[in-house]
Amino acid sequence: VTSAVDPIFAALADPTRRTVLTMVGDRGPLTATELAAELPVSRQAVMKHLDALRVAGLVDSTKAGRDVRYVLRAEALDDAARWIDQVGRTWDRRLAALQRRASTARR
Amino acid sequence: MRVTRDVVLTVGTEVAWELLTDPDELSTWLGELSPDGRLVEHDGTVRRLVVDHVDEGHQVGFVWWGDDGAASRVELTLDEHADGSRVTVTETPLTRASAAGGIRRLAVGSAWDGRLVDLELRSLLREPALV
Repeated sequence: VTSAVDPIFAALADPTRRTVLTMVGDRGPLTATELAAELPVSRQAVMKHLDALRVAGLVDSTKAGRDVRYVLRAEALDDAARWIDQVGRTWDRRLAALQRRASTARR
Repeated sequence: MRVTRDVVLTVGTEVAWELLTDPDELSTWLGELSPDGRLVEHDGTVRRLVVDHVDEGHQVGFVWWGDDGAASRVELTLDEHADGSRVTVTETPLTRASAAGGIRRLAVGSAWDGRLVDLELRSLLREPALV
């Protein structure tokens, strides 16, 4: 487990931010204005969420004329997926040992 | 976001509870747990562990973290099962800030040994990112 996933999980803790990330992932590149048009929050709020996602490395921004467009950085999600995978496999190993111990314990 | 696993044990919940909470039993499947909350797993991984929730015979919850400071919260839940008992484990990653906040909340809880919390706090706050 590396602390590199810390900001990722922190960024994903907010439900609106997860929605923003999903939209950017499904239909990006998108601007904050385009996102705000479909969400029950202000453009300023969307900007804040996008900034948190950018700091966590989950989205990238590119400037196209006056627009700033956001795209998903799938590599960052891979880090989170790797954490989940590694932690899951470690628990599989521990619980198998627990099961072996239980099979020799008094009933 | 969390990891969930479960396993069925061929022992009753009373014995299973001992397997989950007795340090001697923990050493048979998880690792060596010292009274100061230091856990050394069989693969050599060292973690600090603070128990923050106990529902006797049913559930134990703790926060643990390794040398890199990445903390997560673990819950072990015990339920009756036709073949004996079922253990469900969930592990949820915590951010550094929420881990420190959790430890601070523990510090004001009356159920916890203050000296142990002091120890954990000092260990956590050694990391500037947590201040």
